[in-house]
Amino acid sequence: MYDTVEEARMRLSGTVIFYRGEPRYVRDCSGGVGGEIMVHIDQLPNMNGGIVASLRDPEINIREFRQSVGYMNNTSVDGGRTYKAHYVMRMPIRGDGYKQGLHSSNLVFPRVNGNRQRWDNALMSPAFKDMLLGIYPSLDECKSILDNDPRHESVAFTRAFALAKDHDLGFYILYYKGRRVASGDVDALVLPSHHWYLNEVLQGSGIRVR
Amino acid sequence: MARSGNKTYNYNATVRDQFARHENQSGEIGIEIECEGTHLPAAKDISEYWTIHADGSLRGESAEYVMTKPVNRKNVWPALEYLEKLFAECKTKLKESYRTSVHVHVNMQKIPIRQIFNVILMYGIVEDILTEYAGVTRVGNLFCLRMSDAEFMLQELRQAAERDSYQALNSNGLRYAGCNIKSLFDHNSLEFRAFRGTSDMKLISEWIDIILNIKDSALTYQNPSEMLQNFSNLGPEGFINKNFSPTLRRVIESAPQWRDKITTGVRLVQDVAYANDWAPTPEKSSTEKRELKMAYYELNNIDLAQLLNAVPDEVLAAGRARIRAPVGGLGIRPQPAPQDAWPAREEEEL
Repeated sequence: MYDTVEEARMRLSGTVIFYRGEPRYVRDCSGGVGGEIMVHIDQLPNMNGGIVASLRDPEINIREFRQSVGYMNNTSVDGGRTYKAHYVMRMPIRGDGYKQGLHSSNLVFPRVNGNRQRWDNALMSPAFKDMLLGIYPSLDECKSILDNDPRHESVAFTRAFALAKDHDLGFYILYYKGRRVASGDVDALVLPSHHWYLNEVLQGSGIRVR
Repeated sequence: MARSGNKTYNYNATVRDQFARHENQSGEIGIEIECEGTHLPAAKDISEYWTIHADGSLRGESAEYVMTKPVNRKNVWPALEYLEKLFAECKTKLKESYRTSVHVHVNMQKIPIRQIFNVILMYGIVEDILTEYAGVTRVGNLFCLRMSDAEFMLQELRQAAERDSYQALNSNGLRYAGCNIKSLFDHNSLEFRAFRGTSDMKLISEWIDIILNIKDSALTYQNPSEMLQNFSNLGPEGFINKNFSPTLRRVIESAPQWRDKITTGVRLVQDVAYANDWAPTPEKSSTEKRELKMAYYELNNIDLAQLLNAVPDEVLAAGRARIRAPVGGLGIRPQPAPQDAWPAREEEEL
């Protein structure tokens, strides 16, 4: 682990890590008793409830974020009225100051209405926290969200899948990791032959296709 | 560049021809060993095999030992053994550090791009297991992220394969991965960055054997979709038995839930593998090319009416819809191909 406070600060400050399974924003790092390195962490999304924990605490997770990024149900596009799902990915990049935690320099946020997603906006967005925790509506809930208001563009129901609806033609569109892969009725989506290899993944996620 | 008719497929070009034309190298393996510790051999001690570099990411007394040029497989061990003896002579003590690592470059200059994809994806299939083997400090380490940590790499590979255009892979945004594909442009090599820093040359040698095993097996497939089809046919057990050496199989089988991990790996990389049909496109002989060219000129000199008279009526009727009337001379133009039925294969970001 890190040898000095400066090194820990360089790698972790301003990033999101996990503590006791919850995403936390690292405000700073400091020295503790006996040379211990302490991390000052805030809760998301309101940046409150700050605590200080030892970097040696086994409940601190600064490495394993595989199950933390994916679709984000962004509702901040127009002040929270409508849903739009965005697929967020991590990049293998050194980026801004070699950040080990999740950070704007190592995450790819698709543009929202042509604008880059601001990191501080993401941090304060409940949708970002839901993505980090893997909280999504069910497929049926997505369907009714889309049915009830045509202004909703798309809603994710897992880290990898999102649903959209063409209201003019009355069919649904299934997105997988940011691209369209199937369409039709939610109960029996049509998977074209060039996406047939996804069959097992879809079935594993409880999505019926033909 | 390989051609078939009017279509050019870049994926059949070699890395050197398509990515960057670096000096031809006969050696296959290049090694970089980052070290922190005490009594590290200084520059004057280094042989024909090794040179010494400073590395800004290391702390304290530190050095990076880099091969002066790639070596053949049979020379990997003598080169490592030389360094091992040097460490012993200098009474070198290496410090365990998450910052240090061993990077292995594998020469890919003469390999077609579609088979480079085989190597990358085969590594991706077993990467989670191999990274755990490579060292506990390497798992989730920002200097060697796995494909499962940083899916952006897979997206870039998929888009490159789909478009058969690879320049976007020359990006610093892809460098700090367990398998660094930017190195294809920088050195015509794939760089494997996952192994922990160590002075145990036997361990490093075993790691290199594992990487070479993956490369050799991957190159037995024509393209990535064939490789994944092989997995579908054989299952995890059959796949590793067919493709991997006993050493690599032992590493894989010692990982908990290795079958699930390999299946997850396959699902992770399959988007890339099936992003292109990787159709075979044998080079046409120069004679064939000339004949096609002749036929083209003859067609231009034939009166269209004569041509149409020579075609049976039923064939003409079937083809009429696809032929426009000539405008200002001979002009047989096929109608634009119908748009792909929904869903289109074009990327639409959400």
